[in-house]
Order: sequence, then C-alpha cells, then structure tokens
Amino acid sequence: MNVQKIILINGSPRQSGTSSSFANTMKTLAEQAGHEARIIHLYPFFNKPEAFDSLRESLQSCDAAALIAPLYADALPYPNLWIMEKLADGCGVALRGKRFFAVGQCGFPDATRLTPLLDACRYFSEETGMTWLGGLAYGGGAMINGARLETLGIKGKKIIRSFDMAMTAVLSGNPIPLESQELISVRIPGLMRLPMIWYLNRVVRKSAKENNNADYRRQAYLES
Amino acid sequence: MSIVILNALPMAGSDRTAGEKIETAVVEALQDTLADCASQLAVFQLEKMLIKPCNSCGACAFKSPGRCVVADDMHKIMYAMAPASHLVMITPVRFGGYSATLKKAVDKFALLALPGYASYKGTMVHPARYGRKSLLGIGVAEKLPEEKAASFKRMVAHNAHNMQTDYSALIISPNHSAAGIVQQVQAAVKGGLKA
Repeated sequence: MNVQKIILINGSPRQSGTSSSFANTMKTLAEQAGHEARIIHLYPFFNKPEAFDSLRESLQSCDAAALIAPLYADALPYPNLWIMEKLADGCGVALRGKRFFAVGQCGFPDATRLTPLLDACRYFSEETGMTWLGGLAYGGGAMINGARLETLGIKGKKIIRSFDMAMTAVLSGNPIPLESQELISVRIPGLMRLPMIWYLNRVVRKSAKENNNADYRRQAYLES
Repeated sequence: MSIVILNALPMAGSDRTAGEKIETAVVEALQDTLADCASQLAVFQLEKMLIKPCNSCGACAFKSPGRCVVADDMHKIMYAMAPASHLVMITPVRFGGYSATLKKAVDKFALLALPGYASYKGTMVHPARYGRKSLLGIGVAEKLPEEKAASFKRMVAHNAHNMQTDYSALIISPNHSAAGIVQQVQAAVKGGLKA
C-alpha cells in the first residue's frame, strides 16, 4: 500500500474548537487506514512571512490537504483568505495536482449558509491547480463546541461515518460522495424554529444574568 | 441617514489610479442617487487600516457588550457604521468573494448584531443591534467568469440576509470609464436599495 501524507488545516482561531475536533477525527480515520496525517493550525502562520514558507513546504510535500474552518460573516475567516491569497499569488505551480477538499461548519443549523465558504475553497483549488474533491457543510457546529465526536453518541457516530466516507474517497482520489453530506445534514422542521429561538434566547438572557446582568443590547458605538 | 463606504481596492502602487477612479465614481453615483444620505458620507480605505483578526473570544457578547475588546482601527469604522443607513463595500473579487482586505472588516460585522436569535425568511438570524442598513456590494475584476460573478453576488446576498436588509450587488471592470461606473452604480442603487 502506498502510504499517503494528508495535511488537515484547522482554519479556526481556536485550537480546541469544533473545526479542530473535526480535524482530529479525520486524522484518526486517515491513520487507521494506514496513512500519515498531520494537523496544522492556520492562525499562527497569519501575517508571518517567515513561517509562511514552512506552510507552503508542508503543502508541497503532501498528497492531499483539507481546510476545516468555521464560518465568519458568511465566508472563511480573514486570516484564511489572507493565506490563500498568498498561496495563490506566490506558489506558481507548486501545488498543482495536490488533492484538496474542505469542511465548513457554522453555528446555525442551516448548512446552506456555508455555500460561499465552499465556493472559495473550490476556486482556490482551481486557481492553484489543485484537484478539488469537494466539500462538506456542517450546520450546528456551535452545539458541538469542540467536543470529541467519539463522545457524542449517535450524532457523533453519524459525523464520523460521513468523514470516513469522505476520507476513503479522498485517499482513493475520488470526489467526496453526496451521501457523505447527507449524513451530516441537520434537518430541523419549520415548526421547531420558533420554539428553538425561544429556548436559545432564554439561554442568552441567562448568560447575560450570569455576567453581572450584562446589557447585551447595548449600542456601544452610538455612545460617545 | 448616512453612507459608509468600505473600499478594499489597492490604493498604492500601479493599481492606485484604478482604485481612485472607482472610488470617486462610486461616491459621485451615490451623491446623485442617495442625495438625502450623501451629505454624511464616510469612506474608509481598508488597505491603510490596522484591523486585527477576530479571534472568536466572545467578549463582545456579554463581557464587553457590542464592543470589540481588540484595540485596532475597526472602532473608527464601527462608530460610522452604527448610525449609518447604507453600507457600500468595494472589493477586488477573490475566490468568487471578498478579498482578505475587505474581509478583515467584514469579520467584525458580528458587532452589528445581538447575541440573541430571530426568525427571518424561514431561517434563524441574529437580530440587528443598530437597525437595518441597505447593502451594496461592488466586486471589481477584469473578465470575471459568470460562475464567479454569481458566487460574488451570492456572497453579498448571504451578508444581506444575515443583516436582514435589502441589497444590490454588481461587478465592474477596472477598465470601465468613470462615467460607465457611475451609471452601473446608479442602476444598482435604483434597482435594489431603499432610498
């Protein structure tokens, strides 16, 4: 068997959040399949040209790479885009032929919010000559809040199964199957939305109370 | 009623002339179509501003409600954006969306929202902290494939949805004449934004 090198890039500023948890599970899955996998946290490379070379070298030496990132204001966080621009503008053909895929996760249950994030990853892949193998969108990442998927019961098992299917496809050089996305799609019935909002707002009010009755509606930037 | 323009175009080096031309044309178009608001118009050239990344520290929810605890230039923008009625973003199109230079500011739009939840057009959103602001997204690119142009417009639509506001999005070429850019922006404002 040809041992492949997989780089899993955590695009979140948090090194133990949900994106990191997803990366850990993917690393385990790749290793269980007999391959080498490494997690790279992206934020330490931001705005540091001297560190940037080592990131580029890591990507050059891998067979496949993934960006696993949270959704910030409907797209990839700024440091992710900054590094992708540097790679696209300065790497020439160095990344050509490397397999690339992405996993986006957002706090809201609606995973379609992640479309711009996955679009950006696909275009980055095209512009650098990498081979795009697809993306997975997970809505409800805030509810996982960095927990290890292995501890989350049925929900965790479903996500692991989805990632296993995706990783198997990527290691074989195939696109991520649609079934992999279907497994992690959270479907909340329309009737449940308002009760859910009521419950979450109750949690917000409780958190405000616990924070010295914080005035969370404050309009700080209208104050002089 | 006021307008804030976030300009993420390169304003130095060889691209400066195009950046200045586009900014000037956009301002002229807004002064014509949104005359009531244009008397209070603030332009921020983002390339020159120090805006540090959002590290998801969460302080803006309860510890420092609505205010970012990071010391950077975003506070200047927020003081202008909070009372504004219109927000205009001008950016090179990168990967079918905003450039990193624009995104450094957009990442902090969370400050415009409350930590609570509301229902909007069949989805969950965070309610607006300062009321709704019409959004105009202007992508700048030469010969942009249709698919990428559609992605850019979708990006603006997603931002507008989250801000629960009306919006318009357009792509302009840096090679267009100033008069042509004025016309395009005027049409976009008339077609999609509330005056």
